[in-house]
Amino acid sequence: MHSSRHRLNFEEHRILFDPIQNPRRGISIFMGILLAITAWGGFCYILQWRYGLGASGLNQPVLWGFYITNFVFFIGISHAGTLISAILRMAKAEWRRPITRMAEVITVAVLYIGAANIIFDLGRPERAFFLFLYGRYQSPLLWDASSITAYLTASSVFLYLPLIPDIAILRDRFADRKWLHRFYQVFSFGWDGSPRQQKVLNIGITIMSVVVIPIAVSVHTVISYIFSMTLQPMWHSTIFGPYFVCGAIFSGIAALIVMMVVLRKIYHLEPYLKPIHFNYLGILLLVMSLLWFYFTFSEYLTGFFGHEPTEMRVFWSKVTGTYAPYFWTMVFFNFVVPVLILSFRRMRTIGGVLVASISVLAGMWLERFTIIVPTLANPRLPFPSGIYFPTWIEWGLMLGSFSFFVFLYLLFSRFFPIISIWEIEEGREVGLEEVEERIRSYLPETAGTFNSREKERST
Amino acid sequence: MTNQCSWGEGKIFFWQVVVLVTFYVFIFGVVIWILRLIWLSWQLKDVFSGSIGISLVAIPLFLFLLGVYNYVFWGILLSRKRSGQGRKD
Repeated sequence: MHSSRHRLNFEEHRILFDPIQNPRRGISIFMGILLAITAWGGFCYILQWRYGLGASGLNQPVLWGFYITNFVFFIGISHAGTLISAILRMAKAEWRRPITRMAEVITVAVLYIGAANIIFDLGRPERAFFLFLYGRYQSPLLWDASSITAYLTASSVFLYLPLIPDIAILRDRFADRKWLHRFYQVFSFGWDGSPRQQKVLNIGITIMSVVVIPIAVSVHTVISYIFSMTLQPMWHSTIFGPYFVCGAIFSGIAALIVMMVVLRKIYHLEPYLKPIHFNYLGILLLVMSLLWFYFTFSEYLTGFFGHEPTEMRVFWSKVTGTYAPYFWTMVFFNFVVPVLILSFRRMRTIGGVLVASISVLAGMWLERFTIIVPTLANPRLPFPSGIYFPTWIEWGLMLGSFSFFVFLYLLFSRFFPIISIWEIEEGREVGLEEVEERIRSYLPETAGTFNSREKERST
Repeated sequence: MTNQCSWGEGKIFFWQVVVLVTFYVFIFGVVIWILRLIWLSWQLKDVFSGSIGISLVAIPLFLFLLGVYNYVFWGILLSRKRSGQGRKD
């Protein structure tokens, strides 16, 4: 990635520099609105801090509500990035190139917000510090703290390493902007694109791609342990680990598609994000939808077949009772809508895939809600059943969380290209030849090639 | 690419090292935290083996991530200095 090539990139990838060089006013105003909603969420939190958890709808026995639902949902979405990006890199799927960065940013942005929702759920947040001093490692809650910290660290490194060559491009591009240029100078590590540097970077990215996959899987497995390690009805399940990982990848792909469609529209990324990308991601979403249904069916059928009284109280509250509207809406959004849309090639358009993804996001949020609240409302111990209604403070914090996520995402796109420029260039220069070579290696040799090789051997 | 907006080599290197040191502090902070929890479980006779089991995965993982970051950091910086192109910036 030498300087001469940078000059070529500047014009060719002008669309990608526009959000940094000429930020549009409309987007700045939108970011301001998002920040205002986030501030409103902050205000709600201050009220909750002042008056305690009594300001929320949380009460005995339902002590986990919106906050923990959001926590599990956001951490699930985080699988969009690192896991999908790493798997596609390892599989050498060439169509990944314009989408990996978008996916990786989702992971890092969303993890902070997921972790913040845990703090929202604490009645005495100032005591969170005790976790560092007196935490007990046999608690799955502490496993969670460790695994999320590891995932956040790994995802940040995984986002940063492929950014280095692009930061170098920006360093050269914005040589006239004092602080921006200096910022890029520091974080580009003096990248000049020499073969030695490229080799070091590729090794780093490959190692991280391998390492990040088990970390991502472990994070959502450990989150499922928060529930399944207890003896609560419909939580104490051995398939909760893979069930949660499946749901996380499912919602992650949906979140990625939604962000891709939005950014494609507002930043005019049509030349980079083509219908083929949405088609492939749509197929992935369809596969995950079927897998999710399989897990849900197994989970509920096993519980129903055992007919244990405490399990059945929760089961019926979900299927025909208080939580039935949420449960069946979840099934409709997570299974019926995506399968109906994505099974047909003609309907797997950008619009169709977007509708299916929004449906999946809503459905997966409901799934987290219907896992957490009905079980707590119908506990195993002889407590009276409870009911949960979130207050406006919880709604405010939820809205603030979502707004802050979108704000962070747009903020990133104001400083860094949202599509990896050097990987696109690499795809053109090296990827095409590599793919051709790879396909040749899959297939039997043609008669001509075989005969000439035989001749060479005999001589 | 030298202009008035650019920082000199020394100043850039200083800030790059600051970033690296911050990462070191974070990683070793986490490692010290985990070690403290193990020590606590030993003191309180509170399932010490479980704490050791989890830390056997967690501590090497964090150190490994630090290692990858270090490898890329020094790999890119040193190869730049070796090729002598650093002065162009």
